Amino acid sequence: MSLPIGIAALLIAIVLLVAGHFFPFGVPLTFIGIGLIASLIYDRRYKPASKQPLGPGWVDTGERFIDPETNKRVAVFMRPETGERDYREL
Amino acid sequence: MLIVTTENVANHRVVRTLGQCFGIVVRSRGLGGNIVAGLRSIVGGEIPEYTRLLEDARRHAIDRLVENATAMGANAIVMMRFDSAEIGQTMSEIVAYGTAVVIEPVSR
Repeated sequence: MSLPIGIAALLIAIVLLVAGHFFPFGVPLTFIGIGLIASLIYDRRYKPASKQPLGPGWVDTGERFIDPETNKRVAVFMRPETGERDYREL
Repeated sequence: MLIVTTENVANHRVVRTLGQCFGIVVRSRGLGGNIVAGLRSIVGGEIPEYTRLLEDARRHAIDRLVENATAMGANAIVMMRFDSAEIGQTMSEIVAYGTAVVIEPVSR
């Protein structure tokens, strides 16, 4: 949802800047638009559960939960030597 | 790595108590997530942007807790708890902590 808002803010800002209206809307809208689009690049999920199988050395912990965003069942795997954990969709 | 919120693990006994271990994380949503969440809060109901934030923070904190317990040589964490706090207006701090132990099955 933030992508269309960000693009809309940038488009409006460009129109305002071209028309010579820098303040109070042109420049602030530019920053808001760039911030919204940048947040899509950096604000990603932490270890999203994928369907790709894990390589050797990973052990199923038996831990299961339902991801509140996708409503899919997720299994937790662990590498016993390092304690690293990873998530896989069931 | 077995993680339990109880003091004892069924059919196991603690052979070594290694001490406290922690997993700490501070996370925040980006500008887009915070703006959309702010708009949603006007009408009420669930705020999925912040549900996602806390779910990711929970996973991140548990992952760090397990990595720290593994580094201590534990094979289980007992009495695991979560604690949470707010830093600023949009940052959420989640702490997962417990006691790192070595357990072994009780032979019958």
